[in-house]
Amino acid sequence: MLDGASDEDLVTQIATQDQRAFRVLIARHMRRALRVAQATTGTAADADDIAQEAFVRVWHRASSFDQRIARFTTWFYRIVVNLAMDRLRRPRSEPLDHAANVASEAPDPLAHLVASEEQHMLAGALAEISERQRAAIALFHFEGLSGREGADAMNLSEKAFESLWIRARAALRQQVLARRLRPGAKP
Amino acid sequence: MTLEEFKRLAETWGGDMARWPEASRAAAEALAQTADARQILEDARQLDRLIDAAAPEISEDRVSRAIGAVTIRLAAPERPRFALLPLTRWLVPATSFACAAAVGASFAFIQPLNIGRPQSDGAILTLLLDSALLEHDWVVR
Repeated sequence: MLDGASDEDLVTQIATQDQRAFRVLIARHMRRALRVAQATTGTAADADDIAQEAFVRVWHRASSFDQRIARFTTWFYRIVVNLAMDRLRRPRSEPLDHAANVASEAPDPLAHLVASEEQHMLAGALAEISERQRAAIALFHFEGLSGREGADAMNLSEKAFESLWIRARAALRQQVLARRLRPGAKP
Repeated sequence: MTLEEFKRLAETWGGDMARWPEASRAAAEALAQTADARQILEDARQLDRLIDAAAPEISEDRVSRAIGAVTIRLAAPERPRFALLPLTRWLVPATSFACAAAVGASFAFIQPLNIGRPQSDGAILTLLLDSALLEHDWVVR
């Protein structure tokens, strides 16, 4: 019965400590949380921590969610993006590992081989743009959020999100062009 | 809508016109029939495909592991509330410093030091005479 429930109804149930509702919600959104966190931070290990922490917060803060104000996905993505930004503010010594993570889990080995060079180049290009631009790409492009939803998730005005998204796309295009012309280049 | 406006929309929102702002969609769809507009759309779709290819692949195993980790974290006994507050790690050193400062201030109030305190002319003269007496010891004899 819970499987067909809306995200918002599940959160209402979770606010009453309903573990079954939580299991349905986490199964529904864990992959998205991991993808947005990894696209933003660039590391799988950070993404794992962030996605887990985001769901722990959903469990503890479900009662503060108001579906009259926001959809669950907007509220949840905001938690994920905020955690990712917090993580990126910490000093880090290891480089981003977009390339390794993007290429490592392709299901078809042949397709993986053919695409790996392109993926490697793209991963490098993604790593070169700002974390906010990566978050905008993850929300708008990977997750299919609208401009309004992306803006809400990043706590920005719709205009500001649109501007960030335009810069993100342009920067990525520039990175891709530069890398195609001069492999390994950092424009 | 001009071709330039069409191009700006394509570069902003990508090659999927369904995701373009609704207000400009009808005019854009009419223009999309022209060869130039089709080329612009194709360029935008090419970038869309590139961005799609950059999306991190998340395996089913990893999703399951992450779900399991959340379950374990929630099942674990909750840490004391104060341990979660970021300010509490400064509480012990800050309290120690405040106590030390309070003790120091109390001593200073009860028994102030005379060193460096401005003296009156009379007091300086007395000090000089006293030290002269101690040095030469002639009054005692």
